[in-house]
Amino acid sequence: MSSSHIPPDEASLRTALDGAVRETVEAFGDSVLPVPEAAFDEGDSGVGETLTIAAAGALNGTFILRCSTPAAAGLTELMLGDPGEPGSEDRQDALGEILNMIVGSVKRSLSGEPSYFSLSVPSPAAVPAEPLAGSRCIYQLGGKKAPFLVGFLPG
Amino acid sequence: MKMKDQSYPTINEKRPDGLNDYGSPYRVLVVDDSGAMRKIVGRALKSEAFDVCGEAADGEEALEQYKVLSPDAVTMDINMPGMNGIESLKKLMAYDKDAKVVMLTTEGQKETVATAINEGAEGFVVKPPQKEAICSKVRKAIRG
Repeated sequence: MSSSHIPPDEASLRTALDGAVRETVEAFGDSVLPVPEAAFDEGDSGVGETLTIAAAGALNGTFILRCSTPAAAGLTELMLGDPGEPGSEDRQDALGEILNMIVGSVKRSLSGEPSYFSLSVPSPAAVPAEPLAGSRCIYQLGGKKAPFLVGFLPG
Repeated sequence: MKMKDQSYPTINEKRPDGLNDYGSPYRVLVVDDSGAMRKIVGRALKSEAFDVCGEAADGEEALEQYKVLSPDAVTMDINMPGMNGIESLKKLMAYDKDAKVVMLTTEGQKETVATAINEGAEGFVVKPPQKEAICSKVRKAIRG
């Protein structure tokens, strides 16, 4: 990795995240719609599942997927054809792979050179107490009013 | 004039990717730490009549399964905890230099792909794997 490589700015990262979310969901035959910040109330019981992938290198921090309970069911069903049970291993596995594909797509679109940054495998995280600071995009799947958030927390 | 018997398959009818010249399914071992991804890859392969003869969640298990099953091909995730896909590929090729391995990656980085090809992988597919891509890559890996 080149030490002179400059990390992406906020706007570039948001654009990459947005493109990656759309590409990943569309690959499974659905679409996403952006929703206003107010539609996703973090820090309360509305957040059902949180998955993270750590990035290290020119981009340091954590990619995060946070889903309301119905969005977690919708995304799991999109991938596996079955919504699974809340908090189950199957659901966390499916959501982790969705985040993995989103982050892989972000890396492809941002990388100017190999090993620009490395990524961990996905892992479930505790339901957050605080809203995510940093780059964030909020969507709903197709016509369903079930919001989920994809973001990056520098650190 | 004698009428053509329409019950016979036409010469242009496409044989599923997963069948050999004798109509028997090719046997594939699917390796990925994610059960969800193994299910997606397996579903795609089965839709083209491949026989998913085994699954493994990591490199060690993959090698054990390979020795027992002797599959026609392997699909191998690159980003796995513990022994990653590249290390698993090296061990597999050391065991069987004729192994046919198709790598799966979310990142599609040139450096990683080049390393995999140098280590003996026959091809790679970027996740999310499209059914047509994975089936044709596996068939091509087997048939050359």
